[in-house]
Amino acid sequence: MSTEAAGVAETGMAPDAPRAQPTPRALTKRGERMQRAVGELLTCTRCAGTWSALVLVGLRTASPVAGRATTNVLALAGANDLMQSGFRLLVEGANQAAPTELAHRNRPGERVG
Amino acid sequence: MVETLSILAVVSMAISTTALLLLHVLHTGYDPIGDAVSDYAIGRYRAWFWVFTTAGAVSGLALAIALARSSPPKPTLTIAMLLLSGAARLLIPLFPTDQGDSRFQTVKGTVHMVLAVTIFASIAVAASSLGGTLGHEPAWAAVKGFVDGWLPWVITGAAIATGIAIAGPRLQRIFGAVERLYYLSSITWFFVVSIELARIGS
Repeated sequence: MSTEAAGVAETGMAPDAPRAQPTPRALTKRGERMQRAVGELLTCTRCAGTWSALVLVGLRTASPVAGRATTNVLALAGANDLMQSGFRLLVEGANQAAPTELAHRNRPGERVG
Repeated sequence: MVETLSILAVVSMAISTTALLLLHVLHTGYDPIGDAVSDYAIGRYRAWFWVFTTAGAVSGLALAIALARSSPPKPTLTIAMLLLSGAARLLIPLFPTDQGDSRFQTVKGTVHMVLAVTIFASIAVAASSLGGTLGHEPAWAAVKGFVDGWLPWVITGAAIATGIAIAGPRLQRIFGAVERLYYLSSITWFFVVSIELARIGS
């Protein structure tokens, strides 16, 4: 049995067939009224940001040295995130531009460069 | 730094108070005796409620950091409570209150009440814990009657009375008045402490 045939036998589909995306697990709200309210208060995007900022400000107020170190680590992590996002955008842009450019270069009778 | 932050606290509280007073003058349709201040978040003038809470939050945060940097050191509990009240005030306009029979009908309404209780309790605790410390400092002698006298008691009493007025059906008719007494006393406390801290300067 060839490798390709083995792949079809295992997965039941051809190797080139697109894989089905895993469905995201549905987020269900659990608990009684007060429990849900506290959960919402802790997990909503704006709330989490506000509480994190409160912890950071509190840490800087109580212990400036530890607070400054934590702020620096988080700032660097944020900068790293930004650079990663920028790099991914650049790669996506380059990948989208590449097929067009290649087709342009391979056009018969046209000198490139 | 302490002076700058204290002045920021005074200016922010002035903006917050102006917004609250405007909400009482404008035709909002709410009754200051019976309706809660939180009701102003619902209606065409809700932007002023956002100004009121956000400026109040800035004032609380600035005062907390100013107190933390002043000398002699102030109680950590006061600073933590002021920071907590500031954060809660930033979040409260995102969760409008429930109107009608109960203020706990929806999740957002319940979150609003949790945040409101947090704000009321944290400012009462901050005022009470700071009074004991400032009462012994000679630099604060001019306002000792306010910060270590009747004002923290009025704030605490009004906060407890507001909680009772939420629970008691008979007191709901005067809920707004009780809540406004709390705001009047806490705003006075903020002004007294911020102005005196700016004047002392350290």
